[in-house]
Amino acid sequence: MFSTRQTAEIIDKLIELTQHNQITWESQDPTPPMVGPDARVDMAYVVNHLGRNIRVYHQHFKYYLDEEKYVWDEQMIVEFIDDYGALLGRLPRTPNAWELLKAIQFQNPQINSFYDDLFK
Amino acid sequence: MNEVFKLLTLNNFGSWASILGLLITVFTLLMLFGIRKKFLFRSSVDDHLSKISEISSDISSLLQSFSNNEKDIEELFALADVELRAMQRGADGDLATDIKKSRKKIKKYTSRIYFWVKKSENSAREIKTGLSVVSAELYHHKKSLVIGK
Repeated sequence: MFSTRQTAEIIDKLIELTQHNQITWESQDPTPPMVGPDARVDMAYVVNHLGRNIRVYHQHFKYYLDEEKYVWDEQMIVEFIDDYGALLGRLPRTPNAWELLKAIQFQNPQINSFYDDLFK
Repeated sequence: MNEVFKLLTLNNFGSWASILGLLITVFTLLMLFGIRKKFLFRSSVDDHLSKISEISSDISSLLQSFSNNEKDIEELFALADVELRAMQRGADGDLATDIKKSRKKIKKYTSRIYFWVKKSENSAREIKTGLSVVSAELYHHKKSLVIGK
């Protein structure tokens, strides 16, 4: 799909747009197959930019060491979806996807205005 | 041809073998240094990845308000340069190219010699994207090491 370089650039651009409030993410409840007996997601974030729907979420999943033993691992998913939430394509994993999640969470007015509200 | 064989006495043969031996020794030493560099880099990929990702994440947060955090961002760029320099010794391929590019951009941004380079949010974000690319390359490099490439 996209190269590592392109993915890192796309995500950094999304971070910039988020930090400047040029795009606004909507939070959604996670739906299968994001969640299930082997996977857990707290919240998914969706935005429509340039006619494309982009979904971001932090997933905890069971990583099986053998048939019975497993450990919980986590990953950040950035993917393109259609208007009905069906997966169109997923971006390769890059560490800056975590920064995107931070930027999205900080965009929440309840969080970013806390400092000002606390010290005004 | 016969003349050549007449000249190749046991003494001459010994001299040539000694020269060849010296060349092989030099070649082995060079290879050894290369392997040592690669081994040291491979053993510290995890450490490099976590450090560069942490710096990149900190810069990303500070870029939320560039004008208020300009000084801190510049300090983090300097830290990133130190980390990139350590990585550069053992890196190869695309990773080495991206590290070089990032270091060049950081140097231009932080050095006083390039006084005409404007320190704007855009140039800071360009460097930050360079760091993101390096950490992404490093992440995939680590994955390929795990599967034994």
